[in-house]
Amino acid sequence: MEASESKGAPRAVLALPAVALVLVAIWEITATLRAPGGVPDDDAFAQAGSYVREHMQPGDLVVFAPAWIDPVGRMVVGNALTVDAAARMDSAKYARIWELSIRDEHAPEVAKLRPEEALDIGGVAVSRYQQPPVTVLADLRDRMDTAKIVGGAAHVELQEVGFAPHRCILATPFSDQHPIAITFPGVTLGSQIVGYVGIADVFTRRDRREPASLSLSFGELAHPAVTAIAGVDDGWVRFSATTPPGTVANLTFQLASAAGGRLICFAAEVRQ
Amino acid sequence: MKELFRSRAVIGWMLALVTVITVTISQRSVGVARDEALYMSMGSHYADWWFGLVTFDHGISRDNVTKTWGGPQPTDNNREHPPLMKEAFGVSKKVLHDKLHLMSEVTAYRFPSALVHGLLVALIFFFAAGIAGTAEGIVAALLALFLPRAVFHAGLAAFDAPIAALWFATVYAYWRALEKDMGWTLATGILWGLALATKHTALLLPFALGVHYLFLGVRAARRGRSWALVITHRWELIASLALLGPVTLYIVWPWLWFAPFTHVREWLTFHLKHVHYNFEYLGRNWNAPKFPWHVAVVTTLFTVPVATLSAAAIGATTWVTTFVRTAPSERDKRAPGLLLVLSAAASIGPFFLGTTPIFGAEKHWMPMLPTLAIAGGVGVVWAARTAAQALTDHARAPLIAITAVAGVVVLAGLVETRAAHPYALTWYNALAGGAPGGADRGMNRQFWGVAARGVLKKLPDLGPPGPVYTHDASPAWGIYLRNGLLAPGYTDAGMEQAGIDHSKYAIVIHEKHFNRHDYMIWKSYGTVAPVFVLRSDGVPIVSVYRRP
Repeated sequence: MEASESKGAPRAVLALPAVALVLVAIWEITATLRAPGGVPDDDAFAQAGSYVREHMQPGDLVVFAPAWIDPVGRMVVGNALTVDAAARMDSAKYARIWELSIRDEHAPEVAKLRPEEALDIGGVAVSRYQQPPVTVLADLRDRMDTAKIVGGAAHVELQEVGFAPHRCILATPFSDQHPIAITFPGVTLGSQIVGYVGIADVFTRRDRREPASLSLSFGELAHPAVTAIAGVDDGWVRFSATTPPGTVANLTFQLASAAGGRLICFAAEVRQ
Repeated sequence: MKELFRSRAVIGWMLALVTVITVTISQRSVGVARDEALYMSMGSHYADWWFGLVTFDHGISRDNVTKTWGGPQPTDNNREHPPLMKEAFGVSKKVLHDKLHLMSEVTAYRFPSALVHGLLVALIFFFAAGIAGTAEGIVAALLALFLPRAVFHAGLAAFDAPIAALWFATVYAYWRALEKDMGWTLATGILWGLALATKHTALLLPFALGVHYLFLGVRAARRGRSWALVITHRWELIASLALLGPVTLYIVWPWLWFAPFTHVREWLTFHLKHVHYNFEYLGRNWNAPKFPWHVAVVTTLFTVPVATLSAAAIGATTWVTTFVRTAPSERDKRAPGLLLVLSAAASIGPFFLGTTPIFGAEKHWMPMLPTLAIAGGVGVVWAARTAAQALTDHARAPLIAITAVAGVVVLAGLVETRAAHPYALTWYNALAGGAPGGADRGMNRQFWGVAARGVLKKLPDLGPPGPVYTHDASPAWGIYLRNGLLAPGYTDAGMEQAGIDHSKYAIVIHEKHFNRHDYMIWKSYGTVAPVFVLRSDGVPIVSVYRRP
């Protein structure tokens, strides 16, 4: 009896590779058949979109998570998400943010917030978040008609930066030796200036790998108040500077790159 | 013995037939790939030239060869890619569609790819059966048949499945030639020439064959006590590869008939300096070196059925342990395991360098799949037989165990292949979590614009006809219209922002670097909301916008 048992153990071990193969295969079949169920169907998304549209207030923002459901999210909320909101600089000025999410993911805009309202619609998590919004005293994208531009061309345009949409000031220096300078005269400052800079256009980012730089100076300061570097893989790079509230100053952005014709995209807000 | 070979031949060619039928049927719902549209058009162009030549409509002159096969620019008449498969696509369309009306235009163009994929599966069977046994051969062939991405590529009029087939056909012929068979020796050179005439990556194959040849040469030298045997032990093979390979390439490629050295140099230079297309991998868009060393490993782990990978791991372990335990004098003189490993390594090895373009992913190292499938076949049969022999003495137990284990492992591949269809480039295996898991992990969504086929029938539901911004499906749009896959009136609006501004509808085929097309449409249409989003297992692959 003992001999038989001791002989039986290693024999069973010899069967393990086959058992393992069968178990892996059965798991794979099951997992493959169940994989599509991990994403809610069209009806669930449509109902979630309807709910958001019905309960949205003017000025609300809608975000989606994970990022790959973005097209479906935009389809179901329709024009509740405007082009400007989708191509926002950031989400700081929005008091209320709605999130449509699946697979327990969350958008970066709400990562640090707790939902005021949350419900599940057929697997689509609909959440409403509240945050104290920043007060924007001036959006420099709206002041381009008063800006003085030296050493290049600049205009406001919706551009792809870091594979995301951003309505920005698209600045192109005439030379790879000298920066383009854009001055906004007589801006009444708040407590800070917040902005973002990045390089537009995936193909020029591929073909020329040099970064772009932005420096901001204001008032009588001899040195830039802030400098930001955006590399080709850095996306939308944040910069900020504290400012003396109530002061009226000329704001000058200098943008440069060793890559000729670099499409440098930036946006900035003067915040209370 | 003769009977065994005869029955194996029947099994092998039956497997090939099943493969050809499977691929031919499955490709019917697969959209036309961007590059495929060009290869189809060039195929017809080349076929017309050959038919004109053999019917004495024209002769051979530098002028008419240049007009059909080349030109001053690097991509004139698609001269950057050798012509063999394009010629086959064109001839197939001319015969099977135009003359015999047996197939639709697109199916006829694609049929040669399906045929050579059938050949590949048959050769995998013959090789595995030859080194391990009939059961191993059958399982290896079925595992190869149910590789989702391979089935997809085999259904296209492109070069990736055909080069895998002709690469492995060369390996198989070389292996058979080692039996000192002159027919296979000649076939080795000719098949390598055909592989060269299919895709430039065939140039990597001599590295695998060369190392294997030297390994056998060292063995022969030790036995024969002459170091000259390292090189000369099967010198006919070297002669065949060195002479028949280039001659075959020359014969099938008229562009080489004038200024052959210059044209070969230009062909290879094009690929050595190939631009890096955009490709998403682990959440990041890659379009410039240095690429991660693990792209090929992770992509293979996520695009081959898990059960097949597991079986291959067991099979490889079995090979190694058997090799170690077998006395040198009793080992297979032709070292087939080493040959398979070297073949796979030559195919996938360049992608560890970090500088080889990674766009296209697994399709560029498809010639390693036969090695994986054969290892899988060996692994399944070994595991099943060992389990049966360990647990019972019943005579039929091994056969029952092999049938059961192979059945469920092959079924896993079949289920994955079915799940992948027809958007196999968006599909990832169960290890990745399927298509949604692939999207979560930031794996490449798709390429070549194939998925646009899925929205063609939807367009009439969205509104009356009008110009469509066709995005990456632009080269295929005319084929869709011509073949009635798209209602008339939904014409191609043109390229980029001008095309969008002129359009009534716009489609975006989702890839990370294509996001900019959404934004161009938002600017023109004044809305961010598509009216329809095509999804594959829940993952968005095509958005359709309608101008408000």
